[in-house]
Amino acid sequence: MKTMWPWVLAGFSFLLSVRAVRNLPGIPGERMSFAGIWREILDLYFSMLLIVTVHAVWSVSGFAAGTDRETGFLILWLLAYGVGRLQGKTDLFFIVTAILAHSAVLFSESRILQFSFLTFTAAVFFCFRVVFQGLRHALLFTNTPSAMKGWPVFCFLAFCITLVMSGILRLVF
Amino acid sequence: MKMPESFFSRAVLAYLPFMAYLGTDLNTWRIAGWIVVYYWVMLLIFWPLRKLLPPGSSKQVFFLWLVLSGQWVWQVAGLPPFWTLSVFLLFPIGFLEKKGTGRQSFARRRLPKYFSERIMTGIGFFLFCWLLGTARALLDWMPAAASPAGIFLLLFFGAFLWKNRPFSGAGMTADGKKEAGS
Repeated sequence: MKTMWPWVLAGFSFLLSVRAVRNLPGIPGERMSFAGIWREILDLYFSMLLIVTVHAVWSVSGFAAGTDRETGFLILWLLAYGVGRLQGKTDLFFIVTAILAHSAVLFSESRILQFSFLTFTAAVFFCFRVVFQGLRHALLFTNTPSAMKGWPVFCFLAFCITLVMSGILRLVF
Repeated sequence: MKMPESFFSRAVLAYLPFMAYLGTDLNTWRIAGWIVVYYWVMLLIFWPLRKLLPPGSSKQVFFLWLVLSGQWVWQVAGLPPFWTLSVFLLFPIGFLEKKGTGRQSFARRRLPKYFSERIMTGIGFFLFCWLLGTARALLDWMPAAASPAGIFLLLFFGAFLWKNRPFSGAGMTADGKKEAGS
């Protein structure tokens, strides 16, 4: 099956924007800040990179000789779980990392293309989240009608950002 | 920001990873049906199982089961594992966390309500996918509707109509609390 990456990136960007991937007890404002988003995305990026690298090393090593390709993906998922737990992340972080690392491995056989895909994915998530949180923050100072607050505003912001980003995504994929 | 435990929030969140299948030629209704059925099956398995497992291990077993099923479906049907995230997001927050004492009395008094809510969540997700799919098909003549931005616009209209539905107390969740951001 050919995966449509613009759909994946749009859906996951919005998901990560409305559901944080990191528990920050006692730091209420951290999630909204630029530095907080930067750290979250870096964590996600390096976790995906580590998992794909270990998977690549495993698949060229002697251990993989007697096993099929699918077993490699199972190892990738378990590795994502371990990395997520070690960093004290939420369950959402582990599943998103595993799915995106899985997608990167399926994207291409070439390691350079896999790493480029992961870098681009992290860049898209970062841009989306920064713009989304920035616009949300700006909306706090406006007279938004109560009928629009909550999910309607979230979805409308996602629509505006995706509309702008879809042109770039169409050029890349 | 803690998202509320409402039907709409759950359906939207579960729909976001599901969007990965929209750009393909797959039958998305069938996948949505599969997600709902699998969610109910996992709920039926893990509701009694979590009491039998050692404390703290039910979460690990749950994730291992999710990973194995994602892997198995990918091997058998070639379906990328985005659906596992949809199933996970349909589950209530803290489903596998150990509750305090008095679980027996909770089970006796509130079990039917609990399961009926979970059944409604599954049906709600399927109807949500069906409505968005139908709206997308009706707006097929508009190129923007076939893009992710078009889906977010449809989600916006859906969220607006849901929030301002008559006879329900606008901006409230099912448990009477205020909706996120309001």
